[in-house]
Amino acid sequence: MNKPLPTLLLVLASSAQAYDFEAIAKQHILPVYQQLVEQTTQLNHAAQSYCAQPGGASMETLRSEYSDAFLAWQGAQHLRLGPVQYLSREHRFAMWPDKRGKVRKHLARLKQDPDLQSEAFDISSKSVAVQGFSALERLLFGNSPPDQQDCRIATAITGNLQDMGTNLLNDWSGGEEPFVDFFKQPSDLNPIFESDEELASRLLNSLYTELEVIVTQKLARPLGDSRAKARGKRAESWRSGNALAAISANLNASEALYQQAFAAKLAGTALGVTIDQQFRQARQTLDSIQKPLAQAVSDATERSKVEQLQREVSMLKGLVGRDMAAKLGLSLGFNALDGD
Amino acid sequence: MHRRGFLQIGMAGLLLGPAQLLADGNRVGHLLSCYSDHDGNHFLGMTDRQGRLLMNLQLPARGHGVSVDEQQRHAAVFARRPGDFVWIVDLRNRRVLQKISAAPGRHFYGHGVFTPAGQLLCSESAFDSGLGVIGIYQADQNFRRVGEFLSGGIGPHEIRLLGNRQTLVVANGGILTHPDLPRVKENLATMRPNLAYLDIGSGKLLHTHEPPAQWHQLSIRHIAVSPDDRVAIAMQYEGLPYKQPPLIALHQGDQALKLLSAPAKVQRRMKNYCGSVEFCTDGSRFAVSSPRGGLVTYWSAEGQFLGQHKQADVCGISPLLDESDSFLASDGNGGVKHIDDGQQTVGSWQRAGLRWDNHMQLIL
Repeated sequence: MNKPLPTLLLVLASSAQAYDFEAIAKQHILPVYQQLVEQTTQLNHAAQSYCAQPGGASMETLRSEYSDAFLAWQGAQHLRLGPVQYLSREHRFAMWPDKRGKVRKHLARLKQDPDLQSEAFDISSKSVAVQGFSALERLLFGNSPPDQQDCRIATAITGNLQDMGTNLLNDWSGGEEPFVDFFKQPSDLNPIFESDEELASRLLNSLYTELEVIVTQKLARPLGDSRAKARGKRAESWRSGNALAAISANLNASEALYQQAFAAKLAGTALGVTIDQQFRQARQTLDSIQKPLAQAVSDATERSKVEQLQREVSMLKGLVGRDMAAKLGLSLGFNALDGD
Repeated sequence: MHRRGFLQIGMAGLLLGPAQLLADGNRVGHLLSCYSDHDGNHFLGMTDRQGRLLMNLQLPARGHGVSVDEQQRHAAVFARRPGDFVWIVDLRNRRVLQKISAAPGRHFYGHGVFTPAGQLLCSESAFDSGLGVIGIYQADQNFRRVGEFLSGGIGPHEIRLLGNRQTLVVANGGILTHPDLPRVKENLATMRPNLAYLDIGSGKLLHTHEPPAQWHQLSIRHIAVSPDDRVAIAMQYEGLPYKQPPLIALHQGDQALKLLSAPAKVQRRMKNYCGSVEFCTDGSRFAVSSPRGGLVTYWSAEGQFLGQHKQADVCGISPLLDESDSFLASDGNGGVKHIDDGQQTVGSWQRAGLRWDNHMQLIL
């Protein structure tokens, strides 16, 4: 109290600026989920219409709505906290990687399931593997157009996707206990987020995990150890050719979260400049890849660009998870986030 | 009166191993714990009480629980749930003695226990039926799998023996997973966890105890047994995060589960998630870690809340041999703290660059 000057200086320093979680929710998170609700609703309409043949939506329209909704989900995947984790939702939206072919297996099983013909058929009570985009892609991008039975499953999935999107947004912003109320104001009395540091650490971990998934799964799995060992069909969503678009959506969403939540705290620092540059560089590299990821990994010229993208996102991961975390005094967590 | 009774049993239990070696002066035991480095490599480590790393064995994937046989000759390290390996380590030469792979149709669920009859029991899941099983491995037959019995529920996790060395207590977490989708919880809406008691000779289910119906999403995951057979239970709530169920329970004999809540402010901080639970050596207190809240709570053997200590990303807990009422607590930042009977930190060390995983095991 008798030495006001140092306190004032601290407040003026940019890194001492408080996090504005309400703005992060309203300007970033809720719009992301709003977009997911809109796209899954349109997809559901298109599927219902296509399957109500004749005279319904075309296969082209349905596939295009699929891609839009799938990419809306990709644009939400970097948010790994809160209602998206209720009831295993994040796995029900999409099941990837699917190392043991569980989606195929459970889809085949579902086709034999007598429940499928019943009026009360409810796909949300079936295997997690058949409830979302991964199973739907197999139905819509197979060798033959979906038959009547495929349609029954496909419309059940699109209905489920729309419901999950709607419930997810509602859990964030509606009902008696909207998650946003916990999110906007961490405190001792808040049962979910005790402090600003805790919530900021969760957001950092969410961002870091997304970059890590891009590097170690979305790129590393199809790349393999060498061009000879490349496995194009390990690319996410290779059937619909959306693998690179998905990574692009992930990167854009990650950068948007970074800009909304953290950029101001690094304003004027070399680290802030480097992170901005690295996002830009990674996006440029991604845009320069001329073939779908499933082919690019075995292509003499394109493969090196994919490898470059992997290095660049990996560097970005380090900048965020190591340098930024240290600078802002945040912790990624280990036991706290994925225990047993 | 009761208390004195179990203290005596406690000392008797110790005479087999630790107490004798304690007489030589400085031996205070070593610690076994899984850990990971920041490059995503996974290990089983052994340290002394000063934090010096005496052994590090690289594991094929993230490890979880560690158990030691009564002779302190063998340790078993269990793959993280759902896993496909259990390794047996010879503690004399600190080398891997045997690598056990999961049996067809089974995967390991993270914990196990040695029996006095020379068997290793492992919590496992029969993933096609979804039923929990206890796999039996025979030490003198190169840890060959010689049988199994049902665990009495779904998703068995930590298992421990009662003082008679004949009754097995099983934390059936209630959560169904499949190895195709290892971390996906498939039955959160319908789960029914329980605490089960089984006879290890016959595999017979003796009795089970469930949380009340309103808290059916309270997954019973970790347990500790006191010298007088009190079972302390650490749970994880799988329901909505703003509900605040009790997360700790005590059980003894055929009584109902006694659910315990900390004072409101501490309870909130536990974040509906408890990691490890251990009794101190004399059995008078137990400690429960809450990694998401970064705290350890302390309870009397009767279930009275005693206090807490804060430690970011804490999870592993171990009793101490030389201070029978104290604990060690390890964390994901490489730190280990020594906490006395007044919940005060009286010592600590840290190994930078290393993340202690969920559990610690004390050995001689």
